[in-house]
Order: sequence, then structure tokens, then C-alpha cells
Amino acid sequence: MKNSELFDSARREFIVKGLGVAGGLVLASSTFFSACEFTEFKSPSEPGETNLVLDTTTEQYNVLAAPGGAVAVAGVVVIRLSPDRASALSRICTHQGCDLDPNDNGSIVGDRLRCGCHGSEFNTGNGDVLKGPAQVGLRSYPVEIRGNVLTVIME
Amino acid sequence: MIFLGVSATELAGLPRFALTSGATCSSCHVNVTGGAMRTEGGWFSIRNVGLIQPRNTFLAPLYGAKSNALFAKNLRWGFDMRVQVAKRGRELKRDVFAMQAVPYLSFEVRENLYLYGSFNFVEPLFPSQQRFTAAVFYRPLEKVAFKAGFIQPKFGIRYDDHTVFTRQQAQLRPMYQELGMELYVSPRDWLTITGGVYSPEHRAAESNVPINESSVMIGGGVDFRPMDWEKGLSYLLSGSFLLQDGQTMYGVQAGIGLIDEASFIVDYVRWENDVEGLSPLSRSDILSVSVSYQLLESLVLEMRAEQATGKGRSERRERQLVLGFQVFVLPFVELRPEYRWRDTPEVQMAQYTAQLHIFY
Repeated sequence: MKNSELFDSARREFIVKGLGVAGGLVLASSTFFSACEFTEFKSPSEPGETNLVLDTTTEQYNVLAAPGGAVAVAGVVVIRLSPDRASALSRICTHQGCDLDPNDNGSIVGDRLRCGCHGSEFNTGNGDVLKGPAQVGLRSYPVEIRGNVLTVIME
Repeated sequence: MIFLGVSATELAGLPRFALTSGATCSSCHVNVTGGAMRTEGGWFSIRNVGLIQPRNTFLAPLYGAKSNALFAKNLRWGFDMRVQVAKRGRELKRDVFAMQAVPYLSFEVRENLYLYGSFNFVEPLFPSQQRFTAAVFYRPLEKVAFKAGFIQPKFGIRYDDHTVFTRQQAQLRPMYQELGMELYVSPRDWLTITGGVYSPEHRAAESNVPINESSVMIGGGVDFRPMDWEKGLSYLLSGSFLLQDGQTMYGVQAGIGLIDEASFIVDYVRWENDVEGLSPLSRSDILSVSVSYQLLESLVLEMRAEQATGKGRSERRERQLVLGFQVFVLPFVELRPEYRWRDTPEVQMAQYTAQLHIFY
């Protein structure tokens, strides 16, 4: 047998074996595993579409009366930045969806809102990413301050 | 026994393989604690491990190298590329992404003295991960080894999976490096004592912990690796710690291996911190149990069950179950199909993933 025929034979054998093994593995694993795939999100919920009205004279929201105070309401974290400025950011970390509630899994240190799961950090003023692994900033909602009432504009 | 000869030197950089081979990491790796860069013996022993042998195929020219030397006998090279298909991100959409693409070089200045360097072409995701590695590995005596430069502090045991809870949750990520030095002393074949001093800079950057110039991180541990060759059993008992400003981490690992067949490893890590703002959790307990079974030399079944629980201002519990295969389709080409189930306070999900790993 010539060298070229030997080569062709070996090549055919290789292709048949290779395709058989690779195809079998991919087909078997993907068929089995695809059928068993699922995703079920839990808390927290996405921000709603109704404006949030927060009265800082009430016990529930009185932490927002002073700069540095923060509270998680519905799908947002509301942060009092200064006497005349507040921010509202989505409370769902854009990395893996962890809750950024500052009284639970999140932490506020200076101007940073930190996720307790994997350490991503966001600017408390505008939600921009300050440190990964998150790649995308938090959605920010405008907040109006009138006297003791903060209104988060969700619409 | 040909199989034993191959497996005993090929993949022992990982404890799982060390348990099924009875070999030590330094049998094949430039780094005494394992790693991708192989010595000539390590490279030689793995070059034929594959379901498909390319010798008589059109791929033969690609496998014609007689060693991993480059230009000169004491200059060696290698690389490690990993690409994965998995669901990720907040939306958990399936994505194909590069995990790492790292070429290595090592220069053997003289016997048992290596200069080593690598560069990762994939952008690191976490602040503690570094693109460069540069280190000196030196074994002046048979029972004493030394490592210095940009290295990953020795803690716990190595895994070839970036998502193992005892590494991921403890922030010991792949490509995590610190400037430091480590000393290894092995008074007996089955006993190794390790001690190291490191800068805490990169780990602190990830944790956002302020450090002062005099801060140091110290670590150490003891590894027992007794063998029973008559019964074909190998054992592992390991304890280690890592101390950093306000953070303490310690771990215990125990394992048993049936030579050439199976391994069973239990890995426990506790991480405590009292740094305000670092984490809402002041203590995390992480447990991982893994089992492997070699169906063929180039086909390994793997299972892993894990749980991480955190206590502090809030409480968290995460669980993960991984079932998959390691398939060495060709020498230096590995395919890793896996089924992963994960349960966190935010989501419960199950997905299949696949990783392509090309190394040399």
C-alpha cells in the first residue's frame, strides 16, 4: 500500500472515530442536560412603574431625613446624599442579581454601594460601576425632595 | 502498568489526580504546588493522553514535537487556553467567552532553579487577578523548596475549576497573585510544611480594605500525604491558614484515592472578617465534597456538591451541584461538558455548560 493510501485510510479512521466520539458526547449531554435546564428568579423584585412617595417623618423612612441614610423600598435603594439631594438606584446587582439592600446584603461606604455577594461597587449618586465584577451600572431614578417628602419618579 | 506510568506523572498538579496517581505536583510541574507549566518529564508524560491518538492521522505533524523546549534545552514554553459556554450575567443568557489565554515561559538557570513568567491575554474580571506572573522556583535541597515573586499564596488545595466554592467564595481566584515568598520543607515523603509572607495589596483591593505600607499577609499549612501502595490507596490530610488585616481564613482538606481509579475529597474553609463595610457577613463556612472516577485514562467522571453559608448582618446560603466529564479528546485538548445546579437567595437554576481547554 502506498503512503498516500495509508494516510487516507488513517485520516478516514480518525474522522469517523473523532466525529463519532465528539458527536455522541455533544448529542447525549446536550439532549439530557437541555431537558433539565431551568431558571427561577427569587427576590428582589424589579423596580415597579409607580412613583414612590416616602415621608421621612414616619418611622419607616426616617433614616432618609439625614445625609447618609438609606433604605430599600420595593425594587430600589433610596439614598439621602445631602440635605437637598437623594438618589434612587435599582437594588438588583447587575452582576449576578444579588440584593443590594443596605440593611441586608449591601453596604454603603462613602460614595460606594457595595454588593455583599461578589464585591461589585456602584456610585451611590448615579449607579455607575466603580469596581467589578459588574460590568453595567445600576439603573438610576430621579428623586424630588419637597420638605420631608421624597418622591422617586419611576414612570 | 503503562497507564500507571503515564498517570503518575501527568496531572498530579491537582490533588484529585495526585490522589489517583500517588505522585507529587513537582513530579511534573515547574511550580512545586502545581500549575500549567510542565517540566520536560511532565510534558512528555501527557503528550499521549487522548481518546484519539493523532499519531497515524493527518494531525500527526501537529504532535511531532519531541519536548517542550524552545530554542534551548533549558528554555521551556507552554500555554493554557480555556473557552466556556454557559449562562451568565443578571439575565443568565447563554454566552461563549474566553476564560483565559495564557502563554508560559520557564528558564532553568541551573538544576532545580527556574525563572518563570506568564501573561494572560484575557482581561481579568476581579481586582485581585493579575495579568502577569513572574517568579523564581528553587529547590536547593531535596527536602526544601523556595518560591518568590508574584505568586498565589498557598492555601487549601488546587482545583481545575474556577467555580469551586472553597476558592470562589474565599476570593482565591484563578490568576490571583501577590508579591511574596514561600518556603516548603518536606522532612518525610508524606509530610510537607509550608510558610509564606505576602503583600496583601491585591486581595485588599478586591475587598476594598485600606492597608498601610507595613501590612503583610501571612500563610502556612501542613500536608500529610501517606501512601499504601500494597492496597493501592493514597491519602490526603491538609490544613492551612491565611491571615490578613481583619480577616482570617483557615481550611482543612481530607481525601482518599484509589490508584488509577477514583478519588474522594472533602474541603472545608472558614472565612472570618471584622472589617467594617467589607461584607455583610462576618463569617462564612464553605464545604465542598468531590468525587472522581476514571472510566478511561482520558475520560473521567466528576461530581461535586457544595454549600456556603454566611452569618452576620445578613445570612446567606448557596448550594451547588456539578456533574460532568473530563474528556481528553486529543492530547492537549480537553472537553468538559457539565450539568450545574445552583441555588442562591436570588435564583435557583440548572444549566449545562461546556468548557474547551487547550494546553501544552
